[in-house]
Amino acid sequence: MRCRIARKKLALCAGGEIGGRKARAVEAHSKACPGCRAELEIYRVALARAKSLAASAEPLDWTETEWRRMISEIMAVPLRKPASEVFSLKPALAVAAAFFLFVLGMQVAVHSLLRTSGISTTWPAYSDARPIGAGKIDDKMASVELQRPVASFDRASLLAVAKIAGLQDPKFPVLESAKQDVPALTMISPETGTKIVWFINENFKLED
Amino acid sequence: MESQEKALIERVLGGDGAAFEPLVLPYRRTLLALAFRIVQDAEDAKEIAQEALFRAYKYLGRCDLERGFRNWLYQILVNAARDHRRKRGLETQWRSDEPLPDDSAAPGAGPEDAHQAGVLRAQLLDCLDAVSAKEREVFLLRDIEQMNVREAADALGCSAISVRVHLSRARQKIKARMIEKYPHWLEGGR
Repeated sequence: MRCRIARKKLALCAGGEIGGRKARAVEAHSKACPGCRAELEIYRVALARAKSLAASAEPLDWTETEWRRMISEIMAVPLRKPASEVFSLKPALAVAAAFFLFVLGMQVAVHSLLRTSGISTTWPAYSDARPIGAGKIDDKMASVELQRPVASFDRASLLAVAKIAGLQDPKFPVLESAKQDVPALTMISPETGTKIVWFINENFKLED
Repeated sequence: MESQEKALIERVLGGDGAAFEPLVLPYRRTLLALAFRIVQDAEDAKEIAQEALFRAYKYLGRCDLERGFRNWLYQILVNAARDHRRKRGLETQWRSDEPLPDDSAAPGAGPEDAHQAGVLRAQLLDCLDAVSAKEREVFLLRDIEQMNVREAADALGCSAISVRVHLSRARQKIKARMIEKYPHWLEGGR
């Protein structure tokens, strides 16, 4: 064994933390090497000195009054239930939580896959929305629609949607068949039959 | 764990709170001494030891009887000391503005033995000041409280390998501090 390796082990060897073959190797090296032997001896003396210092140092202690008061305060603290009772429910709760998270994760994953593949899902979509307040307003004044905007707007599609939404039915647009994908606002006068359709463009400006 | 301790724990858990005092009485001074050596302040040490006893009573039901009450109690104390240090935001170090007592000076008042004990305590703390907080905890539990490596690892919540590594470093630093400041202590070994 070389000195460099032996010196790394001397501190633990002095306290007996190294045993067996390693300890014998260090001891054998120390016997042959005066420097390492002296170093090992210093460790042993330092360790013994620290222990004796600790033993002879003035002990701290509470006064009897302090101790009594502290113990009585401790007694006032309620004991917690033993671990066996409190933690016995933990595995069951953990399994239940894991199952719930698994189901939730699967749902999210399935919906994400269906949405990316273009298949409609049961997630709420603007295209399924009914006219806002249609039941109340249609008879008297107007119907109002607000539907999902398309991803990209162009003039041709806006005009096509306007045609479907405004002209197919003279009285009210058939909303289910329209499937309009542009935010639009339609107002129809019950007296004159005049229809006004506003489409909201990508800048959220009204176009009639 | 001693059967007497087991019986006392069962009594406390059974509702006999008075059994707690005889349970912790043997550790009264060692707890306080260990806390003091960790934080190096008498008032803080009392606070920490008190907190440890509070926690020990409150969570006595969680004590692992196989591990032993002493190790469990020391682990609580070390954790309380760490919490205290974190709360205070200080790394316990010997304050340079506080001079070490001079062991060659005669005491001005009080018994000479008490003064000498105070000097030794301060010098020991000075040596412990050379090591980091973790190394100090390991050194105190293994070399001063005479725990074995496994017990120290249990009390500190780390592996036996970690204890060995920190212990080795602590001894190296303490030895170096002794050589530097108290070479007369090592004269017998030279």
